Amino acid sequence: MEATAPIHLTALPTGSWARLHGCELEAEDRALLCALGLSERCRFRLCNAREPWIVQVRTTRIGLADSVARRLLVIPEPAP
Amino acid sequence: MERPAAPPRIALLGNPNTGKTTVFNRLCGVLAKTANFPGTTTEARFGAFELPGVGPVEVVDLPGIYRLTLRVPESELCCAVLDGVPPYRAPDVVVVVVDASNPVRNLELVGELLAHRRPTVVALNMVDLAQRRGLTLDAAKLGERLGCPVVPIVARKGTGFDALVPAIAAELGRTTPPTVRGPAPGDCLEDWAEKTIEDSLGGARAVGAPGDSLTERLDQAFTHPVVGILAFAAIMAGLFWTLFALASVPMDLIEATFEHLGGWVGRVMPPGAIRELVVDGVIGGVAGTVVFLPQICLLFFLISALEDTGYLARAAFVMDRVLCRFGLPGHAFVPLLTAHACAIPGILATKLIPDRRDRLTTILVAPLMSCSARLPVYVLLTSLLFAGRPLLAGLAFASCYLLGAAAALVSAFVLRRTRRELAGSSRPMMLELPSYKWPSFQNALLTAKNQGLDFLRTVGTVIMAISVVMWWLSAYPHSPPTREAEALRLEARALAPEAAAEPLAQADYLDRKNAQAQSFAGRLGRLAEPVFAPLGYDWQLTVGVLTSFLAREVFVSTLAILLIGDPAAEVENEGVLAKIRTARRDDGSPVFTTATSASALVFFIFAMQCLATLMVTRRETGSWRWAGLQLGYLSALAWVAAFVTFQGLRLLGAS
Repeated sequence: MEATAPIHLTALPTGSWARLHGCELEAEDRALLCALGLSERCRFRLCNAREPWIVQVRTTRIGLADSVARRLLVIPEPAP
Repeated sequence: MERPAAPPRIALLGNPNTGKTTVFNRLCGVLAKTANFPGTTTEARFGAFELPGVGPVEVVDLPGIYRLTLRVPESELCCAVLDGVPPYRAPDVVVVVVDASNPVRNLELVGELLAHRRPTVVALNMVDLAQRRGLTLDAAKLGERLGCPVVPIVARKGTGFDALVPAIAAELGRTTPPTVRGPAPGDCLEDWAEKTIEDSLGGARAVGAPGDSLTERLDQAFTHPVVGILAFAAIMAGLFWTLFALASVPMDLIEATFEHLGGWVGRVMPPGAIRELVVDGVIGGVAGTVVFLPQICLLFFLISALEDTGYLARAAFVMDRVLCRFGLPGHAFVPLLTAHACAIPGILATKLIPDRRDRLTTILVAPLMSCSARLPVYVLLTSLLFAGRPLLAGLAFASCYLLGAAAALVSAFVLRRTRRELAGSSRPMMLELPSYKWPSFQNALLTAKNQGLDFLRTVGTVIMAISVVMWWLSAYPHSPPTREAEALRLEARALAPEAAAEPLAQADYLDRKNAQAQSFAGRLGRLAEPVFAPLGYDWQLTVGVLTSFLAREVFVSTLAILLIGDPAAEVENEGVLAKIRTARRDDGSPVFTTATSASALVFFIFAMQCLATLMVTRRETGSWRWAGLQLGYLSALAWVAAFVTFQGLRLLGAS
């Protein structure tokens, strides 16, 4: 399987699917993001490609400020 | 068998937005009360109900958390309560409320809880919503997998409680340690939760949770840079219109009731100091505070309903774009807007702000938003400044609001950069956007009731005590009648009753003015006069400013008494305004010049001048230090701004 290079979340178009690859956030914010459900293990769908960036993990919709979205690296995935 | 000293305790735990509070309300009804956890500013609800076969049990509604291991005060508090770390008593049973439509993330918290080895019941809430989304969990299978009872419920409709209550009773009656089966040490919590759900599926599963088109469309609109702001403005305008429109009737009723009560007590009690204390000190002081109760209850009712709909999380993002430039989070907007009605509910509403530094900053600047208690002061001073020029008076009036809001933003900016404890930018916003729902009337009603009682408890008692002190300061020591007043009364005796009314009123006026001047408050005014003299205030205005520390609106009634001797005076009364405008200082110069009026107006825009707000700040921040900082910086800001205004206008020749 061909590996896709990670890109910033802000480079994804609305409706695309991806998986979190890494983030440049402080430990507390990273832990909160993970507790909200956005972790490296989960696929998510980008529902809104502007601030607030809205991602949907399973049934949870999470809103992210620009400052967070810019620091998230994701790997695009094909839609299910 | 030895009876336990305290009734059994049940703790409710769960993620935010899982319906935990609805479960609490269903169990405890209207008898619940809200209080902060000892030594913290984290709010919890405490209630009780009669559990069949067990007797009375206590219920504590813990704050909503995502994980027990997160380094946030709410998670740390939950851990302390669950482990019974003093001063907390460990619960005998933990009821975890799980959102059945979002089971994996919710189960991660259950997994963490099971590690604490406490008797646990899982309340699988919103099973109807989960089924609509194509997800059906087998409660029996899930219970077997977790080693604890799992009860499907729909808290909003009250279904499933006939099974939940016996399950709690059974866990309370347990004589052996629970055999819960959480993740093994070193297991990935998320994998464990996924696997547990996979093993407990009782029907079709929603694959990848397809987007709900209505939610998508609403989110697009409510978070749009333009449409979002317009929607926000419309919703907030509707909320505040409803607040002012509906609250005015009960407010008028309360005012009238206290007025009648004061009148009745005045007639029933014999004249003397006790009657004055009860009528002017106790009833008058309490009435001034309780009159805001309808606004507070209604505001919290509306905010609770709005929060229930899921909209507020979206609104927080809309406002974050503006407020973050000044070091405030988007969550701060609702508390700041609320503070326009009254700073107290505004400060209480900061509980919506998750980060403590953000919350503290918002509390510190909230009194700068022009509250309704400032209205009579603004009306009086703008009318004095622009008599006969209503357009200019209106513009000045609106500017007061803008100036207050601008000062709040700038103060937040400065505080974030100068106070070490507040330093740094606000936490970046990342929020769960809960599903859109119809609000729960019962939840909103209970929130309004709890906040109303809280307001009466924490503010009413303090206000009453201070009112009594202020009444005493302004009423004592009694002064004998002045010679001029005695002469007027002698003169009146020789006149017909109709003609005697005027000199008698004048005699009363002179006596009251003399009594005020000789009272402790009057002496205090003269003592403090040098502090306010650079702002253009004489001792009478100084007393007005000092007494208004109790509540801003007291300024107008104090001036009405001090300057014209008519305690029943109203601001709208043109005669009163004319008399205040022409009131004289001891040296015969006018009390209010253009420079003095402008200086007083600016002072009241910025000054703290509200004891009740100070007390609430102390309570919500958990420290006198923050309350002291708030009082200090706002008083300094008000003094400097009023000084610059007065001296600047004098230099420009306005006097």
